[in-house]
Amino acid sequence: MDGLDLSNVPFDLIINILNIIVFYLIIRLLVYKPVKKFLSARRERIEKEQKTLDEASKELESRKEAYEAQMEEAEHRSKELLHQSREKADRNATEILNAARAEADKLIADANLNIATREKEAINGMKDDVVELSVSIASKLIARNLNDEDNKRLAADFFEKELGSMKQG
Amino acid sequence: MMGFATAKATEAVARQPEASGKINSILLMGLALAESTAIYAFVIALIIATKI
Amino acid sequence: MEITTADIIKLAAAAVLSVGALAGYFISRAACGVDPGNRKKKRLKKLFFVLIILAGWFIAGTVFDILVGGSKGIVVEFEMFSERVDLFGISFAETSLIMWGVTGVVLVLALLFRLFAVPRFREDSPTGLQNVMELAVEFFDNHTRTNVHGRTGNLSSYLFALGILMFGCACAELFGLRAPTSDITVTLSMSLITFFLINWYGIRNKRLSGRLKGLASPSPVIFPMRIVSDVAVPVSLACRLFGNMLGGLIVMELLKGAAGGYAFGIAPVAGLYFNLFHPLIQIYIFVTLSLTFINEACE
Repeated sequence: MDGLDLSNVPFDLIINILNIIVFYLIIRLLVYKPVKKFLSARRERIEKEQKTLDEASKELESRKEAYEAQMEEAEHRSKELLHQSREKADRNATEILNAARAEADKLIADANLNIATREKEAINGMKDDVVELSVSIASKLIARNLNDEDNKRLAADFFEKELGSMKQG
Repeated sequence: MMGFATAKATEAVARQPEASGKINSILLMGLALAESTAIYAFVIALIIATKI
Repeated sequence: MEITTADIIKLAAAAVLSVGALAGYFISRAACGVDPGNRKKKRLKKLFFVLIILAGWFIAGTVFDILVGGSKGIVVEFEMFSERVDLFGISFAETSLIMWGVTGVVLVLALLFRLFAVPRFREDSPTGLQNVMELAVEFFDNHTRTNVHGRTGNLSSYLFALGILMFGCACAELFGLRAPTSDITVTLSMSLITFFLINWYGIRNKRLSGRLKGLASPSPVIFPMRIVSDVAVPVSLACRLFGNMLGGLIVMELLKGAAGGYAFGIAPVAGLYFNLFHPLIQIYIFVTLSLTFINEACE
C-alpha cells in the first residue's frame, strides 16, 4: 500500500452528516420535546405553588401587623382616658374645695354681720334700760314724779352724748 | 502526570470531603484530557503504520 | 476439524472436573439441608457452585477450540478504515451500514417510547423509565445552561441526540460488530457539525465582525495562530474520540485472539469496561468540550 486510500472519505462524511442530522431531528420530535414539556410544566407548577404560599404568608404578616397596631392604639387610648379622668377628678376636687372655702367665708361673714347687729341691738337695749334705770334712780333721789317723756328725753340726750364719746373714746 | 493529578485530587478530597462528587467529575475530565495527547500520538502512529 | 491428543486429554479432564463439581454440589446441598445455619457447609456449597461454573466454561472453551481451531496467537488484524461493502453499486463503508442500523433501532425504540410510555407519565413524582429520561434531559439542559453564557436555542437537544447516538454505537459493540465511533470518518463528521455550530452560535451572539474581532483580540499579530487553533479544535475532538474507541477495540481483539475458544464467557464481561463505561466518559468529555468551545466563541 502506497498511501492511505482517502478517496472515499468525503462521500462517507456526507452520508454520516446526513444520518446524524436526520437522527437529531426525529429524536428531538419524539423524545426531547415531550420530556422537556413535562419538566417545564412541573417547574411552573412548583413556582405557582411557591407564589401562592408566599402570598398567603405575606397576607398573614400584614394581618398580624394590623392586629398589633390595633392593640397598640387601644392601649394608648385607654391610657389617655385614664389620664383625662384623673385630671377631671383633680379639677373637681379643687372646685369643691374652693366652693367649700367660699361658703365658709360667707358663713363667717354672715356670722360677723350677725354679731355686729346683735351688738348694736344689745347696746340699744342696754341704752333703753340704762335710761329707765337712771330715771327711776333720779325719781327716787329727787323723790318726785317726773314727767316721763321730758326726763326720758333728757336722759337719752345725755347718754347719747356719753355713749358717743364712749364709743369714740 | 496522571499520578500527580490523582494525588492532588485525593488531597483536595481529604481537605473537604463534602465536595467529593464535584472533585470526582473534575478529576475524570482532567484525566481524559491529559490522556488525549497520548491518543494523538497513537493515531499518528496508526497513520504511519498503515502507510507502508 | 482435527482432534489432537492434547484435545482429548483436555476434554477428558474437563469431563472429570464437571462431574466432580456437580456431585460435590449436590452432596453439599443435601448435607446443608439437613442442619441449616451451619456456616462451613454453606461455604462448601458455594465453593462447589463456583466449581460448576468453572467446569462449564472449561468444557465450552474446549469444544469451541476444537471447532474453531485454536488461538492464532496474539495477532490482530485491523485497519484504520473499515472494510467496504457494495450496495446498489455504491461502495459504502461497513461502519456506515452499522450506523444506519443503530439509528434505525434507536428510532424504533423512541417511537415505542413516545407511543406507550409518554401517555403514562405522572405529574408529581416520576418513577422508573420516566425518571431516567428526565434525568438525562435535565443533565444536558443544565450543562448547556451553566457552560454557555449566551443564547443557545436548540443546542441542548442536539447534544442530547448526539449522546444517545454515541451510546447506541457503544452498545452495538457488545454484539461483536465494529463500533461506528471507531471509524475516523464518523467522528470527523460529528466534530465537523460541532465546528459549524461553534461558528453559528458565535456569529449569532456577536455579529460576524465581532467574531473576527474576537479572534484578533489581544493583538492582530496572532490572528493566523488563532485561525489555526480554531481549525485544530474539531480535529482534536475527532481524534480523541476515535483514538479512545479504537484503543478499546484493539484491546478486545487482542483478548479474543489470545484466548481462542476460551473467550466464551470472559470477553463480554471484560469488555464491559471498554464498551460501556469508557464510551460514557468520552461522551461526557465530548459534550463538555463542545460547550466550552461554544462558550469561548460566544463571549
